[in-house]
Amino acid sequence: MFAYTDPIGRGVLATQNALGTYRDLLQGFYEFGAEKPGTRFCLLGNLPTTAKQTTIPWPAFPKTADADDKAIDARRFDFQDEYVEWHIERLRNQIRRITFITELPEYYEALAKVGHGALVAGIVDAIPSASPTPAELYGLDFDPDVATPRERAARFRGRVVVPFDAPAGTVPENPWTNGSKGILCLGQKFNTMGALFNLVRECAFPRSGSSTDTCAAVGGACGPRRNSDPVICTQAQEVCRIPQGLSLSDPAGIRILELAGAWRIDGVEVDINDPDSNQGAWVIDRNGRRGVLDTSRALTLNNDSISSGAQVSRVLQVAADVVSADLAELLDREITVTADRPSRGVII
Amino acid sequence: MRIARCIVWVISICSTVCAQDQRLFKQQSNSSAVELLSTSERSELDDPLFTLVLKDHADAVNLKEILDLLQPDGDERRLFVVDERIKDPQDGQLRRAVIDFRGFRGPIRLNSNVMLSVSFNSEDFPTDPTSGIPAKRLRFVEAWGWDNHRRRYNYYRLDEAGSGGAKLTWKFRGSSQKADLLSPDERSGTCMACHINGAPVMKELLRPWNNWHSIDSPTNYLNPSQPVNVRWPVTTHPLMQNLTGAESLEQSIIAAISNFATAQVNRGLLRSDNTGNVVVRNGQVEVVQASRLLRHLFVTTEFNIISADRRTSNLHPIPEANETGPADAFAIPSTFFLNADLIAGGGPSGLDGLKIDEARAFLGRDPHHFVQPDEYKRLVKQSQVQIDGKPGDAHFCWLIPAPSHMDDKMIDTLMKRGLVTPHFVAAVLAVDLRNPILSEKRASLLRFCPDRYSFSEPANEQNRFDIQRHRDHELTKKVIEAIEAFTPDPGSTEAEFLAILRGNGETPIERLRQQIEAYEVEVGGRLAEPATRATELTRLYGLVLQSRRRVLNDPVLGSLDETGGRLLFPLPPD
Repeated sequence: MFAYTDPIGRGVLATQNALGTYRDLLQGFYEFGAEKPGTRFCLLGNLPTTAKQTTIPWPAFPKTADADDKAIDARRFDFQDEYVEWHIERLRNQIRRITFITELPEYYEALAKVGHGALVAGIVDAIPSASPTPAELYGLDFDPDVATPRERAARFRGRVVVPFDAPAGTVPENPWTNGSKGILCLGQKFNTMGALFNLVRECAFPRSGSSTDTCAAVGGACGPRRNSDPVICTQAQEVCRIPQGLSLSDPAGIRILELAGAWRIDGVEVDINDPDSNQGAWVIDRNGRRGVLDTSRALTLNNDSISSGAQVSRVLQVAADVVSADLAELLDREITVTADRPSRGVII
Repeated sequence: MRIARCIVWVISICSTVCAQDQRLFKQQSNSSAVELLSTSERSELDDPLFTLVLKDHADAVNLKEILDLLQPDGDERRLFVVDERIKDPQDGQLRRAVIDFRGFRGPIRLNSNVMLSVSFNSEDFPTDPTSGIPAKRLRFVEAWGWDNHRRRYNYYRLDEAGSGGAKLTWKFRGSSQKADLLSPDERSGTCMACHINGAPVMKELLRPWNNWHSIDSPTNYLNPSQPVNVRWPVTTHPLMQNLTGAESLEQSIIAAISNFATAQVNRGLLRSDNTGNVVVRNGQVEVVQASRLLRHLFVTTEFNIISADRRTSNLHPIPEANETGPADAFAIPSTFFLNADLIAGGGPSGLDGLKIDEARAFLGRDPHHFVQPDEYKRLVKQSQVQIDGKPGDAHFCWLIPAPSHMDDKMIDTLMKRGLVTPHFVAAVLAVDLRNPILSEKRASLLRFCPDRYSFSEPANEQNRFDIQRHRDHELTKKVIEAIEAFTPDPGSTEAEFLAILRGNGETPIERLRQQIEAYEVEVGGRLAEPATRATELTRLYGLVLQSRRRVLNDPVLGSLDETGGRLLFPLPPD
């Protein structure tokens, strides 16, 4: 199995003895991606070390949202569907901080499988002030110490991710990610690891016609009106037509890249992406999975004060990385099916 | 984006050549003489291109040298490509590139504040004006930079004009100051022929950026990752490693327009002769150039091009005839029907807007209103539209000229700052809702606006939308007075505007909302009814052709088509 790395890069998986569990979980997604006959999606282990990495960027603004900026902010789980979600903290009605995240819940699921303590350690690493209770993480009438690893992970996931068939307005119950007490990981129903792998897999079948029409040809695997899906899909199609085999780079997931636009702090222009000069106003950490915009000082974007997270999301670029190599260079290795494959329900 | 292409060359007397010519010239138009820029004129230039390059290195005429002076870090440069023939991968063609820069040089922000425009060819990226190899020889650079002190854009061109064809020299080609006041004749041959308001122009500003390399339309022959038999030889040039999609340029241009709009509004306010600060009397600020600012609300000063959201027509005749048709049904762009971005607010353009949700995704929610692939093929075929003299459509479906972000941003800024009320804006739009661009009715009403009036800044958003604030606003009062004094005929545009402004029984925003609802019911009903659907689609597509023609025939807007009517918009032959 490929030695998948800790996506957050802070070593919590290793210190909590969860890295192996996380790798098993990831392997399941990669196998799901590669197993369908005809797809040029590969296991990472099948790609040579010379494989080329390509970054696929897109804007974080959820363009499918038929709503104004305030509603997009308020109804995160209905609208924020670009593999980016955010949480706003206010003081006396003024926005003081906006936290953007691209972390996927699988990281925490792996910790939950190891144990309640490991999960809490992971949450506290993301939100230092967090003090999550078992009831908050798993619901009432659930003893994490007697539950099986799979039960713990399932209960945790069930309270952070909106089920695919849930009605509009559904909000996950975990307060440490639903905005009541913080934001931990993606929870909108389309923002899942399974959706990402399914998208790349389905778009990696060589097709005729314009590569940009591939999204329309793969059914529900690609949301044609989103920013992210068609871009990823087109890129996957372009690569597989070369012809090359491709996969999602390790660590799989979405990275926060940068903010565009003209930014000022107290009326003075700043390079918002430069940590040395932005006075701490914009901090990306957790391996690009979390970005915090501190609006406690007079911060403006294109001469406008910050009035919503949606406003900032218009200039926020995020990306997925894919890795590819010519078909002739692919290494012929057998797919090892692990015992811990994600269920179809999780995938889609 | 276009930085005006200069066509007519006039050789001037300034032809003395020396190896390291530090002189900076000026040239008003392509047909004007090239003259030396005086010391006092140089002292009025303070944009990044002047400060980092021309001030001390006016002899920098090699593109690599120019780029190094602007931003030595090659990773902080981005290259965007646009061309009306961008779908044609055939070798031997030219393409237009826009180069922008990220980051800061000391206190100077580069992003959105300076851009270059150059041409390259399939073989090479010309950087050296002295190269003996035609494919490598740099022939011109066009550029603009934002002067943050004078709050204006400066335009420059590096070319052979005035040197007798002997060498390239830099010319200052004008600034954005008073660009909006120029007549069509005064614009001719100047950068302001395309930069109508003086700000940067990216016609295809919003998704899906027709004619640009973008995430919605990747250009394989420009992609260094493609196989040798697919990509152009030029892709091995270091500059091509910075190829970036138009989606990123969109953000830079939006930031640039935002800067410009703020500067324009500030320029229109009364200032103290002593301090230069805006004069505030009893909480009131006086607008002194009202008609220039309000013009954006009444007149289409620029346009942008949009099309159906990333739906390719597969009817584009470049590089060869294609009759496949769209892969799926698509929604007609809302901005075809009305100024949706401004009326609804939000969305990718991020305007505050009038917050009338009904305008967002207008006729775009119900799949019954979507255009089916076969229907679209029929419309295109029946209309006999052509691109480059060949039957066919644009790369993306339902390509239309739409209200410009420039105008919308100006109006949005005027509303936010309190110079106009949202209700006033709603009243103007309600006069001719169904003509989002080039409305003669709206344009005829500008004459009723005063040149000077006072206003107070709204306390908050609620106050901004307050109907009483609208009624008390001096602009509202003065316009009502002017129309009343005109004694308009019943049923006239003036009378209708007056009635909406007065808002007897309903606010202008409510009136506009009702109009939008009725509009959607009316058109949606005809599209949903099988007996009327085909006729309605034909009518709507006729409006598409009409709006394209009107833009091309407009004495000012038509200049933005640099293809002689052949490639910008699909149209039937005359």
